[in-house]
Amino acid sequence: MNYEIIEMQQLSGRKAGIYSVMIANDNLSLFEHFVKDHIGEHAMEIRSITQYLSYIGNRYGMQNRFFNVKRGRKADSVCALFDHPEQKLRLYCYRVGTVALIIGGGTTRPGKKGAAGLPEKLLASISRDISSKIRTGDIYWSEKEARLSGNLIFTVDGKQSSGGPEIQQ
Amino acid sequence: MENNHQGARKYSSEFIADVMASITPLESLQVETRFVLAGRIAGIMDSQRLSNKELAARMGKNPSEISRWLSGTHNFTIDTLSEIAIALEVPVMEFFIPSQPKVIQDVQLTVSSENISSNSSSFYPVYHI
Repeated sequence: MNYEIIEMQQLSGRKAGIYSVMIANDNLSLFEHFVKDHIGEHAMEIRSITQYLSYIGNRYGMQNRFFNVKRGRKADSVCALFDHPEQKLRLYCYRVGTVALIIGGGTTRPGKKGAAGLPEKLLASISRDISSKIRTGDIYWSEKEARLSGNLIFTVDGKQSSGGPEIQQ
Repeated sequence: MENNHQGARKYSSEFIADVMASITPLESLQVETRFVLAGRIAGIMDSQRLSNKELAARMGKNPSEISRWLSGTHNFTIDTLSEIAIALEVPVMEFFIPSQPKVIQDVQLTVSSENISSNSSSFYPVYHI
């Protein structure tokens, strides 16, 4: 799977960089697909989530209290944003240090619609790729630009994929 | 996808712009109020070095409920805020007052002229010949 990490300009700010994932040959990021899929049925919550993300980027930063860190396997560090029983949606994300947040797709919360685990697995695979590049120094945090830097394009040819089973969108 | 740049491509989404533009002033204020209240409660807990678990124990709640309150998504009722205020031993109004910047170090300098004899002099002129 070929993809790149993109910076969401409308959400990023001085407190944290907010990023999403654009799969090759797609014209929407994973977060935009999440918004598109749920705006009809859960418009108010989608608007809230968008505003929350903008607050994290611009005003509050990535505080632990915003995340449900029990989601996902410990190794892949995927967690859920604002994942509470009173919410109808669950948005998966991956924190890179304390200043970069990569938001993937999401699902309705279990019990609401029988959520599939695909967005979580996809982001887990991506988080492994990113961790691998961080270990090799290909991705790093630039203090000067206060942004995630390095090569944020992942190609199978470039052997940057996790090698796991290909996840179909 | 060209692999010739360093750092993430900046991406402006029309989709997200439309969603943000559709947020009404009321919704915006509601979200902001939830964030501010959660932040103030979290700040007071930090200043008292109180964990979620400890606050939960004081209030007879489950720690997961405290996590939910602090996430910034909870719609607090006045009754819940009153409960929290009692547990934290602060007035309810404390949740609505912006936190004061912390004083890292308070240094006090005192100059005393006691016990200095009248004919003593601290400074002498220096002549360069």
